[in-house]
Amino acid sequence: MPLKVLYRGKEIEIPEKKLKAKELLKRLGLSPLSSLVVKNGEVISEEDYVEEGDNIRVINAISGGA
Amino acid sequence: MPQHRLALCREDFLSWFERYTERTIKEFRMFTREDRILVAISGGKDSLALWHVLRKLGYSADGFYLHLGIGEYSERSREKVEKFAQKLGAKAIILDLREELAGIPELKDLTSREACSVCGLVKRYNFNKVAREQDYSVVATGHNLDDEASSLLANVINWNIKYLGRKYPVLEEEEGFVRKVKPFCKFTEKETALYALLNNIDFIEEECPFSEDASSIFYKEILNSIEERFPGTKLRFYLEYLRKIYPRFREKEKRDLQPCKICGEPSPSEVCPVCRLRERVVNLKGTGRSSTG
Ligand code: SF4
Ligand SMILES: [Zn+2]
Repeated sequence: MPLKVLYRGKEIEIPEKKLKAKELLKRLGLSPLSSLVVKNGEVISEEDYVEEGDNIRVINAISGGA
Repeated sequence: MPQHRLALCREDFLSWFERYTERTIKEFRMFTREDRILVAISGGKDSLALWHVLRKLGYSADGFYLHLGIGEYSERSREKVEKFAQKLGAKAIILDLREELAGIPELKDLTSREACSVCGLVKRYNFNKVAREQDYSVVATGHNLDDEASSLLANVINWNIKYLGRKYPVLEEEEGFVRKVKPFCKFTEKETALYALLNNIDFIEEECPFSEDASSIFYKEILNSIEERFPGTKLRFYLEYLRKIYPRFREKEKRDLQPCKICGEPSPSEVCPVCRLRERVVNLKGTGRSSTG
């Protein structure tokens, strides 16, 4: 079963069983300086892991516009 | 900002964030508890977090939401704002730009200007006008360190000297303008996002469809790559500008403004740019509809 990640309102699948939060952000092309991983409702650190079955949400804090 | 701040536990982070906001407000003498503050809210994390923290700190802060008429995005952000105002038990003033003038997509076509540039114009105009009409002494916006540092970088790269004398987290009130402040100017985007998440603030995550053209994201990413290599650069770049560069370029001479003869807002010409836009919209629609302001 892949990791299911909610990102900007869309569900994305990552073909892994377990991944460090830092690595997950890298796969999504995001910098840990501007994004956060929420696992089962809790913000986790870059060094924590996410696993299949977790409820995972990624927040990209960068916004554009004037 | 140093990564260690984010390693604090939840309670410590929240209390640090709130104390630091208060310190920034005092440091730049942004406002006091006697002021009536109007917070410009978009439904995004920064503005909702700002509204939340100001009220928590005991300031008198109401929200102002301008519905920009940008399809689904505007609808969804308005819903978030209304829900959040209810949760806060606070007053939100909501103005629909489509009734007041026309939506951003129409204004963009009408003027053949970039959406963000027209949008910036009508936002500034309406923030000021509503604040003046309803007796607010200060307009507060949720601009964060990444916003400020990236626009500084873009302007330095283009040697836009005029900008270097204008970009300060407090713009004092002057003839026809209320004071404008940015209490989050020292927080990174990640910090404001974390504050919003930890407070269960339901903000809009999707981006305005026009933001894809915005160069600001590009400059933010560049600054983050520098930050990864040399931590602390972003904050230093901004703060050293405030300390060393701003005072040298600070605009001394009064801007040449007069009250617009139609709406009374400060204007560089007899009729202000927004009233001129309104005339064009009215001509185009062939109706004599007037402003609701
Ligand atoms: S991205 Fe541009 S058009 Fe969209 S809300 Fe921001 S400034 Fe306005
Ligand atoms: Zn006018």
